[in-house]
Amino acid sequence: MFEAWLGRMGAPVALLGVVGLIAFFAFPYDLGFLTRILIMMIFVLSIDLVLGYGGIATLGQAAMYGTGAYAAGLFAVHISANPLLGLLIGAGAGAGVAFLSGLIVLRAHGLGLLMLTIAVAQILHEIANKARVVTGGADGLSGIRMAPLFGRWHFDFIGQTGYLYALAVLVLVMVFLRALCVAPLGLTARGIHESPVRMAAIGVPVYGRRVLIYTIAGGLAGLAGALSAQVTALVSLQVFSFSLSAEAVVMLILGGTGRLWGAIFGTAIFMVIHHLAATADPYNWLFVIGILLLGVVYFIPGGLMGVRQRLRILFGGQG
Amino acid sequence: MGMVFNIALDGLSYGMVLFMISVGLSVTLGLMRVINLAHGGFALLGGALMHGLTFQLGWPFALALPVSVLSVTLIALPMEYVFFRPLYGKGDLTQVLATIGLTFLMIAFVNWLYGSALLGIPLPPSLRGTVDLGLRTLPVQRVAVIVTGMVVLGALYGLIERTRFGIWLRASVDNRAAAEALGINTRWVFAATFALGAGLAALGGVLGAELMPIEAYYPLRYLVVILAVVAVGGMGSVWGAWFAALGLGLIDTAARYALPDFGTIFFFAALIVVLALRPQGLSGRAYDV
Amino acid sequence: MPVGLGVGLQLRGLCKSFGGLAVAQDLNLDLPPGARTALIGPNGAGKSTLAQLITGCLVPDQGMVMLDGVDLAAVSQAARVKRGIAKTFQITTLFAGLSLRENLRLAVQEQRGQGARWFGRADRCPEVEEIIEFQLARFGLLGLADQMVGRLAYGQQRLVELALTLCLQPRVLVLDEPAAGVPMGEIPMIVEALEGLPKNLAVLLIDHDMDLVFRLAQHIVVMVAGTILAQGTPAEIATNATVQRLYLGEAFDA
Ligand SMILES: Nc1ncnc2c1ncn2[C@@H]1O[C@H](COP(=O)(O)OP(=O)(O)O)[C@@H](O)[C@H]1O
Ligand SMILES: [Mg+2]
Repeated sequence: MFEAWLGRMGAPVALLGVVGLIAFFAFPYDLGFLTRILIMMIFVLSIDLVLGYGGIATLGQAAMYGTGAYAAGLFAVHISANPLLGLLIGAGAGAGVAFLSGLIVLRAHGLGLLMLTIAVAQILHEIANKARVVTGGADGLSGIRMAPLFGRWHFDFIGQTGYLYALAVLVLVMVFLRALCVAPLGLTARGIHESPVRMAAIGVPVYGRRVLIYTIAGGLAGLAGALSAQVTALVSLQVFSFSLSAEAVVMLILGGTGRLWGAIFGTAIFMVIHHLAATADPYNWLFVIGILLLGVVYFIPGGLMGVRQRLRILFGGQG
Repeated sequence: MGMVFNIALDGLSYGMVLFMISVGLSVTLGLMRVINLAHGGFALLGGALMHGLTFQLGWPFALALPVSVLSVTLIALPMEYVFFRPLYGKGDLTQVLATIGLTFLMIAFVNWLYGSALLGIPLPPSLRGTVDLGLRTLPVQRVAVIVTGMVVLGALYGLIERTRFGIWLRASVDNRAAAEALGINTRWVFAATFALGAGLAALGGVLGAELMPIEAYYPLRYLVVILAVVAVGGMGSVWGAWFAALGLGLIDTAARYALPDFGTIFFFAALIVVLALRPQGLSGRAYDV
Repeated sequence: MPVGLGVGLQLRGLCKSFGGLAVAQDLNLDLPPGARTALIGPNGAGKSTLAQLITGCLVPDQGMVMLDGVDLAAVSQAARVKRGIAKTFQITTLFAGLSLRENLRLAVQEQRGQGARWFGRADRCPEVEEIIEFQLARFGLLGLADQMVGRLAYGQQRLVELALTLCLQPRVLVLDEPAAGVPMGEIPMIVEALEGLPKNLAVLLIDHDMDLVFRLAQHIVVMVAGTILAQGTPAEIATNATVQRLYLGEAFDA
């Protein structure tokens, strides 16, 4: 009864906001780190849409994240310091790159597809590296100054505004994705994941729909990148790195693919363990994450969310 | 003229190294459909072992090389049994994740042994000099790499086309169920092929250490390049891997010489062009050996 | 209006080879609206291949597939479905991880052109749900509607296969061995569903079950090794000496 009510009222997303606010007050000195977690959650959600729902294996989602970051950064430096406009620009740029590269990338399958996604990100990395007049190359793009949010809240050094801003965007993204997942397109994505052959046989233009899903997810990844550029006031070449894509996929798998809450929990757990282990010793960290990955794959194939079925029920149907 | 020649020589030897490292992955991928991102880890293990034997223990190169390669081959057997069997028939992503995890463990292991510094492998004097061909003098090391690469290609060709094991291998790649019905022990064929591929990766890792220095992060640093060779060549194809490795090696080397400002762009552009036109890779059939 | 409106599906000189194996050799066939044609023949004759040539899943080496006089060569598989050509699979191909209802919903929402919508709930469209309920009821599957399809018995999955295809409201329906793997007790349900199809629908039924074939078909085509060996009314085929010797008389595996 109570669970059904929770699920129907969209309460889980509100709960996410509440937990976010509690964290805001509980860890006032770690807001920078917490903000990175929130941004990474959005990025991992975008991968969940591509990979968990659409069944498109990718290791190159950073291409869209990075494009969004540079687009928003350059927009802030040269055109307008308005944060919300910058977010839109970042999302649009991410969607644009996803659409154009998707037209090529999504013709392939399996290893070829994985390679193409990686190649797109690597090429953008190289372009950003060489176009140092525009992007600052290996030194990164600096000089980003954001105007106050809604003309009122300044982006402060402690990162309070940045954190709340990121939290609000995350909640909105969650609302959007929950709606998308139950919409016809969400069902179509799951159908393509289950059986592309059958989808074609019931009249679905599979390639076109894949491009569409890839483009939407690219927009979300661009949004995450833009958010990171605005909050940290810096864009480095790292935004296009293979390890960013790969780590995000690891977070998703850890939490469980094809479930929005899997992306949220996987990211939170990964980033926290990373924070603790990596400060001790980076190789120590690799050992931990290696064991974690093998553990997930060999012992809990559904990811953490697969085990926490009860949590899933508690948080409502789609979670 | 001199530059073209240097590009050809460097490009060929780089390509041969890529071939030796990647061919095992290509064949096992065609055979077992496992996307093994940890494959570069075998090159790392071979290089690290080689470093230990030559640099630390002072073994002669000629003795340490076969010992390293053979050890990696033997290490690969139990690893296949423990880690890879459960992955056969699983989804792309499961395999990717498991083998990334394995890669991390290999990196952590080598780092625990040797730290994160470059692991030098001293070349014996016989490989350090140059050889005079009349027209030109060539670095012996490059020539040795190219010759070894050709020998490996020839040996693989002989193994696949001329031996009983080759027949089993081809049958298992073509149609596993039919091969089993004929009494071929495909599990054994898988394991043997996997170990052989790992050994070749170790060989490539050691011989290519000049171009691709051995250090703990090796398997991640060169992961993309190794996968690119396999994807462009078409999985399960020795010839495809050879062509792709040489082609990509030459393109990358030429770009570095002629247009150093553009770094690896040409490499990835070539990759995209090939895969956009032929998503299956260069080799005609997806099941080709 | 196109010249050929109302002539239905026409196959002209279709050829297809896999390597050296010719599985379709100069096949000609007419399937006008209302046709109830059965295609029979031993395993490996090329029946499923022909079905795939019709749907556009395979591309012929030569020849044409025409619908109402229009060549479909440039029409993709998905677009052919929208023009009314639908097929069931010989080997069940469903969305195993989705519920039965979701399986059908995918077909109906696509047929109604809603498959790419980002907004609204997929499960809250009354017109869609009505069609789903109708098809579920027709095959006695209402009680299983919320089960995951991968967990259903194989015989039930065969029924879903059929229901899913009928949700597309086709004009030309190709059934690739719809009764294979269905328990005897449930075959009448299939017969009933097929008999209840709209009269102007063109049906090509591929099957080994002679009861089913003789019950439903008005015209029978016998295919062997990629060629049409004989065709005619059920009575003609049943008495055709060659067919009897080659096919009907012998025990064959279904
Ligand atoms: N994709 C394919 N590649 C190669 N051979 C095929 C392929 N599909 C079918 N065949 C072969 O074509 C022949 C006809 O197959 P099929 O059309 O399935 O026969 P039927 O449905 O009449 O039993 C068989 O010998 C089969 O092995
Ligand atoms: Mg058949």
